[in-house]
Amino acid sequence: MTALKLLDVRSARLTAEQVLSFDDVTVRYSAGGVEAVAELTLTIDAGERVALIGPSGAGKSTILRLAAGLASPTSGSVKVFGVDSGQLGRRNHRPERSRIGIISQDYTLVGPLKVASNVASGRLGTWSGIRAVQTLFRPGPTDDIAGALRQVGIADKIWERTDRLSGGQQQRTAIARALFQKPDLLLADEPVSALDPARSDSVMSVLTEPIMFSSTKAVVTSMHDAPLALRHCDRIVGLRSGRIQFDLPASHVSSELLDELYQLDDSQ
Amino acid sequence: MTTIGSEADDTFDLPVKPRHRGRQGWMIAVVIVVGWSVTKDGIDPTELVNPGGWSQVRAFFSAMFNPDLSRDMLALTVRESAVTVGYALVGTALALLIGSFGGILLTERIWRPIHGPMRRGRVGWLIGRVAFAVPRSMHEVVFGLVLVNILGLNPLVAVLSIGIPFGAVTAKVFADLLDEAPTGPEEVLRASGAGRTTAVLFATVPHAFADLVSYAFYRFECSLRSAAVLGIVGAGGLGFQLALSFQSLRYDQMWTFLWALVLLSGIGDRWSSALRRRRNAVAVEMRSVSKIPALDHGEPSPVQSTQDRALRLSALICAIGVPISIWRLDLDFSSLWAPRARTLSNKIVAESWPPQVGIGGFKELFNDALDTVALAVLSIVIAAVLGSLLASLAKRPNVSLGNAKGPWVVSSFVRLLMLISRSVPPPVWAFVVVFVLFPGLWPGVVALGIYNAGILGRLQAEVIENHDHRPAETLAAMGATTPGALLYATVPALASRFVALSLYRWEVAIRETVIVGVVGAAGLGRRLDEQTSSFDYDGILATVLALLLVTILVDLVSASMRRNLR
Repeated sequence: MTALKLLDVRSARLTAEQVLSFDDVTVRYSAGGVEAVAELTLTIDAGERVALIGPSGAGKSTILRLAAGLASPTSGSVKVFGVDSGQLGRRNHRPERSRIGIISQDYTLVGPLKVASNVASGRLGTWSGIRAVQTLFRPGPTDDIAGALRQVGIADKIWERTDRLSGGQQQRTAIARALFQKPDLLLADEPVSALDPARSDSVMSVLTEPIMFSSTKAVVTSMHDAPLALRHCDRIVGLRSGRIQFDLPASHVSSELLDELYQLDDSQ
Repeated sequence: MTTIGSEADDTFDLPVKPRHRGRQGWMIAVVIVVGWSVTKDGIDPTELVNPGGWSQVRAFFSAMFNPDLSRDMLALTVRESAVTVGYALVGTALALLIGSFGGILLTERIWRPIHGPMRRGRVGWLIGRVAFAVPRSMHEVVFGLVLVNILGLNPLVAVLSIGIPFGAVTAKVFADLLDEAPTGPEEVLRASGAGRTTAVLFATVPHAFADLVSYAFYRFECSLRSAAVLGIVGAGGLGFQLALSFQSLRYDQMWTFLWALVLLSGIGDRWSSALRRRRNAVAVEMRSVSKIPALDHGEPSPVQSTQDRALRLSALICAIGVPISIWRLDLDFSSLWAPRARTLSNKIVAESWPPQVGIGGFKELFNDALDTVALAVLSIVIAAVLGSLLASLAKRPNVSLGNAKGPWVVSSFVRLLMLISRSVPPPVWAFVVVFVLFPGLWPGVVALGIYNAGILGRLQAEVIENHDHRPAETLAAMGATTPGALLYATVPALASRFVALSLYRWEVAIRETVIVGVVGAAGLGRRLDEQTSSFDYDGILATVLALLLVTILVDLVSASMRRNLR
């Protein structure tokens, strides 16, 4: 069964576009400091559902921030949709940026705005200035916003002020923003960390299933819950101290590999 | 797609979009009040502007670049600066003394039994709260004008005028900080036999200590500005020298003193904001005085005060500075009990009762009170607009990917501009504005507007600096344009706090109208000035009571508006 699925995915990928590539990337947050990411080389194609797993400080968040253009490598190069990630901030690369969806670990929502406006802001990249102003006062299209919120189970909170929601509800608002945006590359940093197990499972399905046979979309997510990652992603990248420990199809990841990855290192 | 097969429970109707009637109502009210304030004195430039005065204004500002730097002048400036700093230091010390005793007196902790609600204690608590509310609603200059009649030209006037009203605010803020601290430790002590006060001192005060100390330094910063203004009213120090130089139109000398003030308040601001970076004293006061939760996002991280070397060093410097200042200023507290002071205060009390509304009756008094409100409203509108403009130039909100910093030169220049506008005392601004605007509401509006723009701009720049820029960054990374990210992430995050700060300054501005009234601007301040110069004590009492009423009303309205922002 799994092998068959994998085969399908592989064949879909034959025509797929290269979405994200890291070429010998190293990141140090301070000169001479610890390497958050070390000599990383990694390519992700459309149709792939990739989970980054590994202990805290393995470099998962840094990799996602690099992919979003929110951080820049100390050396090496990161390309997103063929654009150097350092150039992503430029005005002429707005179309590429609009194709990137972000669910960050700290949600990065605007507290004083209503949930509906926060979700609506996911499409800012494709709107004109006038449309943006209109939508700020009258969030819409309401059906799409409500649809995205329904998928994560908080449609009843649509008109609430975002900073009045609980942590889990805020996280789901951030997910709804990404769903509403319909990005081609979804970068999700611990997207279900604040949700209960059943909700985590359903939200992960919402995030990953549309990508399974897509020839344009990909998702890269970091997770601390390895079984959840194995259930919803087909490629697992194990990281430790900023380096790739293994990069395997989900079916090939054994519990021994996971034990080794998460082993506590007493020497540090 | 099988994505939401298990989500049957979500197929209910969406909630109806709520309407924020309260907020809309306030917005309409603000527009009406601002419109009404503008029409009070008209906006016809031919009637308001005196074109002949521009040369004086130009002369004043060109003297900015060549102050009198002669040896005598500099020696005088240093001497008088020491006096102003001394007033601020001793005044703050007195305020802290009053605030500490008052703060403990005003906590519910002292009046409440170990368990259950406050019953008998409620009366005592309420009397205390009201007693401290009265001095809190009076500007320092009002105290100055009254005390100078009792004590004469005595440095004690300045110290008491700062210490009493600031002590009352401090007491309120301290009490609320103590009330917010967890009750557990205190209950344990009381259960094991400790007295009420002992339990509060040993269990509750240590918990709130870092906030208390940080707030104390914010008060010192305010005292420094206040000491300069009190000097102009006659208390001595830099302010007094400023007034003397102005009378002889020696702008070069004025700027020597003004630059000294800029330097002093620059150091004071830096010092206090460095210590405050960890704990937002302004938020503490806003939360306390208006009973609303702090508007800064998240609670400040708990500080281990033992590690806070900067804080301890600063406290030590002040502890040494206070006795030195008392000695240098030659403060003689015994003059408070001197027979002369007693006869004079008896005479004033006798002459001021019953209060007399005076010529024009209640109608005139009411009209002056309205002028005062209009003055405060308009000056804050100017300050808010100008302040946010300056703040966003001084500290650009970070929207773009990567770190795009604003040009360093622009930001430093704007910071200096804001420092100057808040270091020059409002009466001096008013004197300058009166060259080109005929006396009335507008000179006061412009003077208070410029002054408060400096203060608001600085507070707003702090808000911009501390605000969470990650949402804007995320939106930009998801394809939003810079204006789009600003509109959706930065503006909503900043707007409510800018409005809250402006309302907070409005409450302060209504008290400050008195100091521009002294130069004949308008409203109850001008009335008070006329009455004090003719020793019309029963008139003064009536005006002070009216001012008290207006202040309390404005505080209530502002508090209600700020609650509506949440």
